[in-house]
Amino acid sequence: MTNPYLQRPQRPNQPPTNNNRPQQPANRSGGNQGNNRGGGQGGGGNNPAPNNPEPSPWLGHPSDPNPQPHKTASFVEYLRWMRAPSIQHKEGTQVQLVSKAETQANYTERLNQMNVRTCLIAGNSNTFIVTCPWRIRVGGTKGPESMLLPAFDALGMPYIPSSTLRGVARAQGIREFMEQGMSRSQAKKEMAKYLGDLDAEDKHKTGKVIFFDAYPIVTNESNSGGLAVDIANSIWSWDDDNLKYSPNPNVFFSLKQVKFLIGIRKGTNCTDEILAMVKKWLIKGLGQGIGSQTNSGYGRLLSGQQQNNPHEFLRLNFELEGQLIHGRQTVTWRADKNRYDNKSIAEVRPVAFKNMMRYWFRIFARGVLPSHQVRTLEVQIFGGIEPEPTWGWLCVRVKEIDSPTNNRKKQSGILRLFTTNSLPEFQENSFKTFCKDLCWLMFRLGGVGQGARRPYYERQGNPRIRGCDLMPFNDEDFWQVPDYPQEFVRFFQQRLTSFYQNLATLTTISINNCNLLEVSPPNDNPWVEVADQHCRILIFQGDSQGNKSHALAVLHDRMFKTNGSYDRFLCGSTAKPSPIWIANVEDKNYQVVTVFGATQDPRKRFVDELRSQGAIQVFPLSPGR
Amino acid sequence: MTFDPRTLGTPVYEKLNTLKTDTTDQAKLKKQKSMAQELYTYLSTWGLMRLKAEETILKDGREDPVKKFFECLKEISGKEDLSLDALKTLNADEYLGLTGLGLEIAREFSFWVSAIYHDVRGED
Repeated sequence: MTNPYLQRPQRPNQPPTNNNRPQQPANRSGGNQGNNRGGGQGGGGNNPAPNNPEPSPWLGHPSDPNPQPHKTASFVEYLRWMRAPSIQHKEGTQVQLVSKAETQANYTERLNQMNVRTCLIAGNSNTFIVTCPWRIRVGGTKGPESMLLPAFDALGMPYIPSSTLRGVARAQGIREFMEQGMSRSQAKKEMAKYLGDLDAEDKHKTGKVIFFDAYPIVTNESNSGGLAVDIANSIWSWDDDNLKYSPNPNVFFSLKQVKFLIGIRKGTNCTDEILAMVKKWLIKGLGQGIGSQTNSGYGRLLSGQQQNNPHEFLRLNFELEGQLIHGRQTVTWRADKNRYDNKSIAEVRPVAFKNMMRYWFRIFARGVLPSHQVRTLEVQIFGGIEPEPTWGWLCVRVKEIDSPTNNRKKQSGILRLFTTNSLPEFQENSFKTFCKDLCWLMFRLGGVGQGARRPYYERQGNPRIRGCDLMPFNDEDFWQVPDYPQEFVRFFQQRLTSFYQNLATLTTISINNCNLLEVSPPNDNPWVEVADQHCRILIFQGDSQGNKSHALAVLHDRMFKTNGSYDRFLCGSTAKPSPIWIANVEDKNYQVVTVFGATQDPRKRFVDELRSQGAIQVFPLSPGR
Repeated sequence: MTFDPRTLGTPVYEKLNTLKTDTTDQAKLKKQKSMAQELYTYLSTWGLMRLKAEETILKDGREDPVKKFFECLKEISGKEDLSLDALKTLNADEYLGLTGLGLEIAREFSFWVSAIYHDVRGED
């Protein structure tokens, strides 16, 4: 007997489920259908290739091994039934299932109803719309296998809880009172007059403004209110005072380019002035970003009244050519290979720039400061959740200008850097200069996204395009690069010296950049990715050789190969990043080459070879510069 | 079975206490603590079957309180077979009844966890 309570939602008019679904006939034409799951045998005909059934992403149920959820089924419902626990292809099935939830969801009716409800209760004049230019994730619910989920209501609809909105308005109000000279406790006390506090005097115990849950507005482009899969890949993690390299892609749900209807209304004893003030705080606070990953460009909500953000301190156009920055993946089952084929979706992502700035920050800071101090400062600057959730001083946002097409493997956009309210005022100037220098170093030492360690080149093999060139476009002198490498040396050393000086100011630790630390003595393997006394950075001029820039051609030369293959202690391999970065300097005919652990072979041999061909060493900085 | 409030509390306390005493790995203790605290939320959001599946999926210590939870559920409900396959074939009344009992037991877990794991600093 089928249990009606345990059944997944069915499509309307779906024929009765056949518990003993037969295998598809062997002569069925074509490959696997998009919705062919569990037991289906794609391919067919007389093809002798092995035909492996596509694994089902669902937690098997005897009454329905191949469910077709109703379009109104919430994404929560998909996760509840997510695949069998020990399935062989679990990563692929996970990606597949969340994609199904994303593409099939149609919450139009429910979300419209919720928004109408907000308008009716709050009154039309008390509602306003905010737009999220990129992505947002509010709420820290953990789903199966610790998947991060956005906040969802009792029916599984994504939303922003009213308490979050109240918190945003409150935090902004407190900040503004503090800017007027109040202490935090005075500001909190003052805030009670608006939003209430249990410890306040009787007439202020209850908040005067009522906040409503905010639901996404359904648009023609998205019936799901913007439900969108994203991926977070924490590649480097701290393991005590060392960094561990381990790509660890985590799939999660966010909301993308979504509009929310926000509603507030007057409560008891509320005046028009109080409501207006709270609304102003709320709009301003939402503009700063809410929810998680705000440092990575997530969570900003803009209203029509939004002014330019005064915290912006750098705006830089850029172009990226090559392997590109990617976000989420899609998968296609390959029955003949018994595995999924992954396809990464290219997207200009602020998180890629933020993490590359973080990477170079660690590289240079660890060369002059003890690792535990670098670790503390890193959380302060870039934000983090350990040892405790911290809103970093820096927020990185990117506006995409052009996305790649089949014929155009380029990405372009505007990189924008902001300080956040967590940055102490007295640190502001040195921090901005520090970030600008760091950004310059990032642009000159390598790329971002896939292939960041190699300059752009094309080849015959697959993939045809390797590496990437990252170029800034800005008229300021600061961003210009000279035609000659000798002059570039001076630019580089100025930026790096300024970086160290501001690092010293931010940490109040005196830094001697001519006396570099030794983080760990290198061997042929391992080495540490750090600009310590074993790191060398060289400027190398030479004409391109074939399709490769000269420095890359030397690295790939036969003399550095072992048994005809690239030496993995020089060029890296799967799960082992190369200790060498090579970056083209725009369209000039010289490159910047960074080598970690350069005092040991095989890296030492490579550095010696570059030197013998006339490379100029710019790091370590020599005394007197 | 005579009702006594300790009927639910005692097995939870005993099993969780034994788990804590038998574990020495600090990282594992943290994971156990956080999962024991989250059991109720997890169960109420994702259901009994899904929680059972987590017992197999999790590998870092979080599976321990889940296993203990099902041991308690087995003991208190008197249902011998609480495997995933058995849960899948229960009828609606039995499944919902068992979930209700499970929620009460999960509540006991979060009640006892702070006392038993008092010296373990939480994960987050």
